[in-house]
Amino acid sequence: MPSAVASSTSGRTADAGAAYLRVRGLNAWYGESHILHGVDFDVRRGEVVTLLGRNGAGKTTTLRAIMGMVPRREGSIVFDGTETIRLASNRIARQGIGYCPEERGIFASLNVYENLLLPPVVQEGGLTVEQIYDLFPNLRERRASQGTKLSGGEQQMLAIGRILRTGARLLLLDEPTEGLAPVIVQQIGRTIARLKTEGFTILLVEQNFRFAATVADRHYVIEHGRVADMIPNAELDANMDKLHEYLGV
Amino acid sequence: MTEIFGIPTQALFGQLLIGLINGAFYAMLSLGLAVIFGLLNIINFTHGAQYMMGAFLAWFLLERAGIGYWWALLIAPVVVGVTGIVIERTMLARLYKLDHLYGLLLTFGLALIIQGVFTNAYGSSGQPYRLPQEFTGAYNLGFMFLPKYRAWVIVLSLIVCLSTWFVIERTKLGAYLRAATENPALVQAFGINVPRMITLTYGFGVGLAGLAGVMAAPIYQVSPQMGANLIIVVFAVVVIGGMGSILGAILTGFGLGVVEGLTKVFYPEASNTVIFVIMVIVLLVKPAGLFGRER
Repeated sequence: MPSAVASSTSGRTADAGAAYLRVRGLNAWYGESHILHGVDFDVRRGEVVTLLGRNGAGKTTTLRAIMGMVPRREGSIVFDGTETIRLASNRIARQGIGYCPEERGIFASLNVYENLLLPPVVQEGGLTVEQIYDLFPNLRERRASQGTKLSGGEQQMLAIGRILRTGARLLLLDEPTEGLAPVIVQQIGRTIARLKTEGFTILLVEQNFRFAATVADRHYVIEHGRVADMIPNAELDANMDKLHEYLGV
Repeated sequence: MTEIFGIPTQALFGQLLIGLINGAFYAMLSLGLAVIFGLLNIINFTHGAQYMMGAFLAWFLLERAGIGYWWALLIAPVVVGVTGIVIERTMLARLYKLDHLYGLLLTFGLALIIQGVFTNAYGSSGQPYRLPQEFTGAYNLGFMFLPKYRAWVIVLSLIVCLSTWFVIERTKLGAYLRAATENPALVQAFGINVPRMITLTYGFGVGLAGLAGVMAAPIYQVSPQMGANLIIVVFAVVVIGGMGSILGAILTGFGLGVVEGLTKVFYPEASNTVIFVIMVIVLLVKPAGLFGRER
């Protein structure tokens, strides 16, 4: 594998206010359908930021566009000072971005341990397998099981756990709580809070804004492929009516 | 002379051996096809022509350059693999987003072109390939004579098949390959250069065909049609074994070779069709193949 890693990690500035991920005028297409129409937002280092919005608003497509997983995209995505809009998705991952897809993407032909070790280490500073097992003890017990034999919650833990090993410092999590029992949702929430204290930056797609409110610093509302609003978590209560309108709940 | 089921043991074991030899080639070829189909979603109809190229390369090396069997065993698969890489980069890579049919048509067309070029240059009659000195003679096993070269072919193909199985099912590289077979976009989004992996996989798969060609050269006549005759049976083997399993491709290859050999003993009239009869039955009972996973 080409090592495009070193250049981006060295010489980063300690300016906490500057955008770690800066998205400007992001457009994305699937074939003829134009899904994103100029998405603009910033994520600062160490923040947990959510993308809220109705089904089909373009949240998942925004994450996939950041990862270079859409057939066509335009605009600007600067991550840690590097423009990534023209990079292939494997090069983007090696800049230090970990991606956890909505459908979890656990591989049926790999066991739990192989799934955990699959994403290559892209830079130093990732968690060890033992640390991941401590975070998600179920994975330790089930490490020899076929990946897709796990429960939905365990698969979600595996999908998050495996990108913690790689040294990626920006995690893109697509609806990690979807379809999970409340007790598992709480565990995912505690995990996200803990990752934040350890300095990870997290961009979270959520339908469940009550969950989002427990973990996030700021919320972007996505509507019709654009950012319609930005609400700091502290002002969430004051903006509840507006949010209900956006999300149609 | 001893008999089993009224058949002289000499004839029985003789056909069993021929069955194992054929099975060794079925296994190596269907293994390559299964690996290529898994990752590229392309049914590689050029496989037979690439096997033939391997045999011809061995023949060229010996006749034109005086380079013997052992070097051919190394050089021919690499050359066939490299031509495969060129084919993948320049042609196949454009087809992945289209229906399977396009890949099938392209590789079938390429097979016809390659076979046509060789037929034009060397005629359709076969060229003999001299058996390497080391392999003249046979082992006396008591109940039969086992020619040394045939024993070598079975052993080498077993080694190659099992090593391939080991790499795919038990190593990190194989885990990438299995994962990319399921979800290439996600594997690439983890930082793996999947397009390059696809290119190398095609090169490896057709390299296996080239290797089988070199191994076949001293046994069969080296002729432009040698691959075309074999590949139809190999496709039946792949259908019977199922596309999902590496071990399945190997076991089915050897197994059907033996079944074909035994049919020659017990009911010779059916020996050319038995594999296709089995294919029909398997398709009726288990459409994904004996070892395949439903997709």
